[in-house]
Amino acid sequence: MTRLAVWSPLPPSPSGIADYVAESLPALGPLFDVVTVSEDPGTTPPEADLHLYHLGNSPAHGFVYRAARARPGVAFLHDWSLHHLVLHETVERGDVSGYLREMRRAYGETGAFVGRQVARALGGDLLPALFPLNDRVLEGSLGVVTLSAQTAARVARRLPGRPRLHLPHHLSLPVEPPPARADSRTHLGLPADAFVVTAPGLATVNKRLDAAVRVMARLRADHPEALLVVAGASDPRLPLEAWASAAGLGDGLRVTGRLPLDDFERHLAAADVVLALRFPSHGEMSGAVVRALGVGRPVLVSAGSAAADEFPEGVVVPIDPGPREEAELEAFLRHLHGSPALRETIGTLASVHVRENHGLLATAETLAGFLRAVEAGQAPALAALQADRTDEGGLLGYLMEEVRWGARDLGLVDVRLGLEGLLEPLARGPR
Amino acid sequence: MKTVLVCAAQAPFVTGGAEILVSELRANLERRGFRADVAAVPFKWYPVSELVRQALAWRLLDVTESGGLRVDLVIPTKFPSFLVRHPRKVAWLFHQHREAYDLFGTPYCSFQDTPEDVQIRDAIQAMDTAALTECRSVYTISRNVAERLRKYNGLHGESLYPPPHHLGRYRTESYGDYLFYAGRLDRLKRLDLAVDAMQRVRSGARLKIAGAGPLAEELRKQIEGLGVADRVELVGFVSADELIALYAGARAAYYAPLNEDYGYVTVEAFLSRKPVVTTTDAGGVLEFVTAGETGVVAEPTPEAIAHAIDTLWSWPEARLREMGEAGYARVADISWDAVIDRLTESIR
Repeated sequence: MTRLAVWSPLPPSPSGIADYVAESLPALGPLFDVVTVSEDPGTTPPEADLHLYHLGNSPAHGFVYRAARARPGVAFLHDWSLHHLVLHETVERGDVSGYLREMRRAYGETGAFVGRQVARALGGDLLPALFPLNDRVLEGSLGVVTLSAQTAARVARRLPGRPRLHLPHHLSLPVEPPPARADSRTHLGLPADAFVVTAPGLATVNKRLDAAVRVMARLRADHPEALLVVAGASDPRLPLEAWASAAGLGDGLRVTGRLPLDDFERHLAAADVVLALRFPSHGEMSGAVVRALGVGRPVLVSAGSAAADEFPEGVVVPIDPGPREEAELEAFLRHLHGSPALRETIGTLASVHVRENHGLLATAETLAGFLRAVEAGQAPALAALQADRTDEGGLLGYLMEEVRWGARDLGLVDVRLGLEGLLEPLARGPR
Repeated sequence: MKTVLVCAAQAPFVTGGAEILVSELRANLERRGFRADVAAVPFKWYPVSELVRQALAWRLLDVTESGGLRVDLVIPTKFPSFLVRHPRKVAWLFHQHREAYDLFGTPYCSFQDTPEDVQIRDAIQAMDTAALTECRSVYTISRNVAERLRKYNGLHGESLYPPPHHLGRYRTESYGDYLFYAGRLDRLKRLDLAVDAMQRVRSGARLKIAGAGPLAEELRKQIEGLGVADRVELVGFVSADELIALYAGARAAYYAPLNEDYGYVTVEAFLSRKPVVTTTDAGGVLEFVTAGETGVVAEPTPEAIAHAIDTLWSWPEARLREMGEAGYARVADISWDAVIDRLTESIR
């Protein structure tokens, strides 16, 4: 049986990816001899026939990123952008030069310019999203798994010949069948007759909660039973209370803090509408969205995000993240508020869709098939990767990277350039 | 017929001394019976971060033959053309990328003191050393360029002076009331120093500056600001005939760039039998100018230069003529035949 090393943070790491991997392991268990690596193994990485690297855009994945760069394996990209992760691995460890090198390597002079701004904390949220910094792991991978069609298409453009898999995000519900709305509300202490709009998961700045708070305040002015529930922890830098106070939402906002998975599911079940906006999107596929769809609730997502592209319209409700975002969100919420039947219809469509296409066992089988195919072609792929690797600390590696940049810019990632013979004499110095 | 390919790095739309030199090298190779051509690859020297990438373009080219015609000899000229690969490579080095060498750390350098820029500087130096080591011979356009090569790359270069553009046409008519400069108006030529000095001269000397370049407007403002418009004239771009006439009528030439590679102005002035005013840090110029014999050499300050000019103006014409003749003798043997003989030695 293939020995598969699965690299990822695992619970209690506060990461959706940790939960995802923990849910998938029991399904992969019968298919592989699985060894998990949930923290930096130092100098003794596990022996394995194949390595599977779960990569997300957060510092928790630093050890996975380093391992993926050190030895080729299958990169499981949960986020398209790894910018924050790379930033953490470099700038936040005092290596600004390393970060600037990565930015320039990937994006040329524009990258170096933007990198200098971001390194000085002047990049805001949008710039990192535009420079995903995922080239290293993509180029060094034997294959790539993504959870959205959007990200898979990007991988295909970057690495046309590399094995890739668009794997539907599995549906995993700790309470199955899902609890009824009324029961969930009783369990959670939410009012039975409230119009509950739930924003699940860690509340961060790109989840558009400032807009949601203002919209909910206006809705609540007309419908005092409206309630916004943030079902998860909140980024301490996010002034949720101040926003609520300024908008007049007052006690119409509840923030639960981090939840155990069963209560997290109950909050989704207790909702009338689930709000999963995300802008800018880093190409991530939200597990909370899949769960919300699985419990049969209408989910509002940001148009253009991975979730909006992944599911047919009608299964999710896209909201344009542009200047009309707030007005559009308000219109949809008012409409859904006034139409319980429509909420029910969308919720039912959603539940049917994810149960047919996102089953845990089926997705594990799909992944296993892909991993076996990659393993079968591993030897020549490894040899090709190895042939094009050079010690980047040395002059030869530096010169080769300089020329490869032009090739990468033309999409020639997998083309052997035969540079070594041309450049080695320059790097060798005088004879 | 032997084939020779001259390799040139060229900034498109910019024609300066190096481009003229390349074109004349080709013409003189043909005159001497070689089949010659020029391979020019565009080069942009900024931003610093792109330098190595631009330079490596040369390394990817195969110039050993063209359309079935073997290339017998390649002659790279300036950075980064000498990175080209060829079994018979004879460099005639106009200059290296000086910002990575003697100008590094000076106000004339766009490199920053950062690990990235230092890495680029080190890479350029290492590549240069390796690529020039591949050459059968390395010639330089001056002893100054050869000295830099020795100092920074540990390599030997033999100086081979290029003749100026209008060789055979320079003449002298009189020792008039003006100093003359002809060339590009850029910062390294330090014409600002000359303009500043002109405010301090007492002898009635005037300065005529011919040429164009990025510093023209700045110089114009400096001239107006210092109130020396009556004694400093920007004559702009001049024709070959006008240039020769301006040299012919000048009392002396002014040429005080910072550590110049070679300096056509000196050679042109000497061929016009005129002394040269220069400075102690002018580099290649000092290979020709000897203080009191072929010109005057001042410290690079406006006061010292003004004093040197006044001294020159105090001398009788006979002395100026004597210095001009000494200068002429110093450059009389600079010829294209000497250059071609040395560069093509390995294929003749």
